[in-house]
Amino acid sequence: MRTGEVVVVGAGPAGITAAVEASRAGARVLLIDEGPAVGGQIYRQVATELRPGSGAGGNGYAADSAPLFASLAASGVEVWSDTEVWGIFPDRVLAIHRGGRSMRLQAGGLVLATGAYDRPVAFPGWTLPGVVTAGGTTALIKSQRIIPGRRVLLAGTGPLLLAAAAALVRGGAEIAGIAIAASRTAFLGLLRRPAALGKAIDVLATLKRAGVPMWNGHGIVRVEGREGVERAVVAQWDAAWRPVPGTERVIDVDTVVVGYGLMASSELAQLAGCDVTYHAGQGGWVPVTAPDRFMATSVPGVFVAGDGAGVAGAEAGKLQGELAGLGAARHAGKLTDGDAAARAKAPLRDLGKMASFRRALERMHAPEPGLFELAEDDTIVCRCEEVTAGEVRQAVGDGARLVTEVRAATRCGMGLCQGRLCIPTVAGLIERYAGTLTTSVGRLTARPPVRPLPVTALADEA
Amino acid sequence: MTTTSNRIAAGVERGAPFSFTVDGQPVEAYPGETLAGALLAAGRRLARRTAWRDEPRGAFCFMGVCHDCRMVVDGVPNVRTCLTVARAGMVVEMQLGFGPPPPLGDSAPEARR
Ligand code: FES
Repeated sequence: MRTGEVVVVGAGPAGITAAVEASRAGARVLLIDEGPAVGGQIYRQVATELRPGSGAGGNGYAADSAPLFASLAASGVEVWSDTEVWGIFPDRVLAIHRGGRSMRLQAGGLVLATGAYDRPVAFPGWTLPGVVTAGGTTALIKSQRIIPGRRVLLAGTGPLLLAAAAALVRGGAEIAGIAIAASRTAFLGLLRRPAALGKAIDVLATLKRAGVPMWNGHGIVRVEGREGVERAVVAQWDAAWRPVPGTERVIDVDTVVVGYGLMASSELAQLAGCDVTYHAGQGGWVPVTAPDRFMATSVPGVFVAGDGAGVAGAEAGKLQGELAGLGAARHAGKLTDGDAAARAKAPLRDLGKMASFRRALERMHAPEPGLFELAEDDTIVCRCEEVTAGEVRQAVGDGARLVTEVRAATRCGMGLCQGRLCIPTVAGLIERYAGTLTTSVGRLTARPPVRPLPVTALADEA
Repeated sequence: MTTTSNRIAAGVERGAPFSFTVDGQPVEAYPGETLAGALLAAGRRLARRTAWRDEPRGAFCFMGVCHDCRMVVDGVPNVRTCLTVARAGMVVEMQLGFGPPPPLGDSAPEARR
């Protein structure tokens, strides 16, 4: 079994920063990522064979990502791309899948920077080809320089949605409109940070120049079409995100981009045995941690950073990455307590300054109950196993009060996505049908493999 | 900026195009594109039809999470096209339900990515 002094999983802003920081502290560092190149989702790079040209290319975050990539290249960090971690066992042993083979790796200090994915929202028509996520749209544009459609409606909340809209405009798409759940004032809280303000002004100016209609306090109702999206219906939403009767409007589009915030990818932390807590505005179940403990989890030697530790955006993620990198290096015996504490001062102070920005982001991303009332009885909840909201309602009627009970009754969450696309909705539906709070419906226990594996890879394990 | 296709002209220098087939029809792709990207650029959104309700599905998350972009690639079912880089001569087919059983001795998802 290979050993590493510090192993970092996830090469987004938080993971790269953690790896570089641990390396600076003197640790031998291995950075593992399932993508083809470092960057993660927000700093996703243009595919290497599509050479970034001059001008308006790159990932739109060049000013932020270029120094980070440079510091990684200059460090001694070893990078393994196209590598999936599918299991974590006691004493920080990772089971990984790389180049068609499975192997094990023991980490002295482990940092999990596993990021986030778009919150799944079940509404009638959300499974039609042409309905895509905001994060996916941004990833497609950044890495492939391809837009998902020609005439697009966007619906959701938060800055990521507007960034996706601006990227679509720059890519030549026609935006039929943006239905924004949050009120205009909710966005003001985000503007307290100068860095965010600069980007927001840029995005808003792009949308304004293109004459994009922006409907604040509006949301998606349903999408219609036979073999793919043909039209979308949006309506004014009240404060609980319930459609206001009589305000529906039908819009002919070929593509609908949905972005109601992000879910923290905390499966690996759960697999490692870290205690988690439910935080609606931070993306569901997140590891219990604290910046002033170097982002340590309840499991010795395991640290977390970035959106996987609770959605907070790239800037906070980098600061957490710094702390987690220091913590992991310290745990691996590469840094004295005093040195680690001294180096943690600056990132801790900067994180503290972001508190009000984070609270505004959390308020904007926490779903209101109306979001879980869009699904009708025949609306698909589990895309993999084709389970409908009606079947979930039946299961709840029969007494199911935990997501695991609904899964046992309906197969919801047993498919290839391992519940990531349905369990957040199931939790909301249990609350809708039975009043049980989302915090009390439990979660699926993460079990290896957390990624689907070819059978041949498992055979290597034997 | 006017684009006549879903490919954005600005900010990238594409290499020489090549082709693969989807359900027997040729599709043009550029080096570095994923199957899902090249198919979208060609106006093709349907990846699979579901096993029970026979509903159409296409790429949704573009980051390997949802598994709705699965197609049959060179005879191997359940290949996530959003993660699979297009290569000349690939034979890509819509996946019906769970798809055909994989060829003997071959490994399943994304084996050839
Ligand atoms: S589009 Fe979601 S896995 Fe490919």
